[in-house]
Amino acid sequence: MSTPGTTTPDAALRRVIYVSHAVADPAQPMEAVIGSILDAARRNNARTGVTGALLYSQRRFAQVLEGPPAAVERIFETIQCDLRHDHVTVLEVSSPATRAFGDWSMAFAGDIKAAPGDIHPAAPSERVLAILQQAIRNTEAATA
Amino acid sequence: MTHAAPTAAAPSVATDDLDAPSRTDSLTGLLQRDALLDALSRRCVTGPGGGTPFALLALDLDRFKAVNDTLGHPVGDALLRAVGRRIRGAIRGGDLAGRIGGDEFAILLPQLTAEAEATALAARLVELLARPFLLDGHSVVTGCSVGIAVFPTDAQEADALLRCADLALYQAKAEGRGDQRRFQPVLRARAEERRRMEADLRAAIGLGQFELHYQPHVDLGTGALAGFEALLRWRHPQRGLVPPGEFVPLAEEIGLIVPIGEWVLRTACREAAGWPDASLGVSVNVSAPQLARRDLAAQVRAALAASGLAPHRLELEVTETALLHDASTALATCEELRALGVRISLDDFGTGYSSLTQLRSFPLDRVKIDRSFVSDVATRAESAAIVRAVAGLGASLGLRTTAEGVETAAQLDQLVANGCTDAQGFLFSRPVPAAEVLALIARSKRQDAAAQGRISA
Repeated sequence: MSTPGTTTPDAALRRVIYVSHAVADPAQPMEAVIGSILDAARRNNARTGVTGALLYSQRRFAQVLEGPPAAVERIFETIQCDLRHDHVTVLEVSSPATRAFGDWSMAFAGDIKAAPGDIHPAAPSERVLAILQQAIRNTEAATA
Repeated sequence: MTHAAPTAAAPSVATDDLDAPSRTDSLTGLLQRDALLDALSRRCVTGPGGGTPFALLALDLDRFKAVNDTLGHPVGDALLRAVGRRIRGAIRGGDLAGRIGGDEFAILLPQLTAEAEATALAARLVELLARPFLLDGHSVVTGCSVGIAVFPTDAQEADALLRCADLALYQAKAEGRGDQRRFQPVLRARAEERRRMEADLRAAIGLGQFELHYQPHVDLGTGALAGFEALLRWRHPQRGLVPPGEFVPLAEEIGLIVPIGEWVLRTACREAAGWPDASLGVSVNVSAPQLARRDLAAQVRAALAASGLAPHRLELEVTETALLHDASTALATCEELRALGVRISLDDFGTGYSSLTQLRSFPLDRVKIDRSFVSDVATRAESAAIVRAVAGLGASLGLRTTAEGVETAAQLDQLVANGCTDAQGFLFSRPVPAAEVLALIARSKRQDAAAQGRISA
């Protein structure tokens, strides 16, 4: 199934943006962790019509999820129960008219070469991407 | 991060031998209260073959009510459902979790090999439930507190064990929420002491155990007795004379401070009306909850009418914090009281927010400088400077300034030098029982007369 964002108009959209801290597991290099996260995300998001982007930098995650409200809430809850991160802070919950990341089941940008499909900043995604990048920079000073 | 599968498989909750699905809570999927209590009772077995240790966790959401009140019950229910899911995801296979009240949960850990397991689960729950929930387009952060009790160390019976876990939970909440506490016997002792104290306090007015003591304050310009501050004391048959610091916070918490405050007001007015010198004032402390009520002025009017005390002899002492509490009601009440002819003083000045806004906005007659500045006014230049500044401010605003807690002649000299108009403290007299006030007034008159005699001689 193709990602629905760019081809069909979205009846009701929910977007959520959050930042979190990666929990270090010495046995698991971060590349592998991110790889498995992206694999699962791309697999499940395509099925539920959720798209988005994940940024990883300086042990911080920033993610945007977009899609049907119920699916986004369900996926967000699953993410909350993932113990590979903590200190989750929601930065935005909104109902946008269109998706910013309709072309990606889960785009990735980071300082780790972990996955294909890196983001090429395009017009609608640029603002949200800037939020994610800024959010990571903003939270670097707050380690607690 | 993303929707990778949770690291731990969610264990089934209703695995206990007799727990049919019908005994689960429809909202959260956790056990109903009765089912959890039954399971708890079955494990509370001592004697031969019993006594196997297990832990009981009591968990309560920290901000559930706020969610319910602001986002409505459907979102509140969705939150409980999601909390149930997170709890199910966090517990181990044999653990039993139940919803035992609106936003209260209990978790039974039957296979406890070490207490650290219970602590670890509590920590996991605190952390997981502090993470945001996305509900109906709202990001909701509720957080939780957890209390831990262990069988058979803490209690041997189901009810008692649950109470232990609850007491530990209250302790966690009292110490700032978002954390866990293990039950300690001192918590039970403290709770019982508090319960006894509360029952005694509720009966104290009816049993006539309250009394007022009076501490004089002196006009530093003339050296004459100016009036008395009425101070509440509780004469308990076993505890003796209980100082206010030990019962006023409890009285405030259980809503008794308003009737007690009214008793103080009426009694002080009645007793002061009986003093032989009609120039002497009486000041009465008014608490924040009293000030927040719109009927304080009516109470004062009634107390004055019943006692026959002239309004200008009554002074009400309010704290900065009480004024801040509900500033608009407090301002309206103070203005109404001033219109009656009653005076108002700002108590403990310098220890609270010390907002100059209050000095400007509230219709005040007096500022009382807190004893903490007075105690070292003769030894620390900073305290003397603060006293001087407050007295100067008072003088400019047309207020009297009373120094509280004056104990030495050196302090008094400094207070006079720095411009205070009145003083109160052990140097002049301790607070005395009502019966001794008349003698104190008479002695003060003799001293005045003697002083007058010396001057004219």
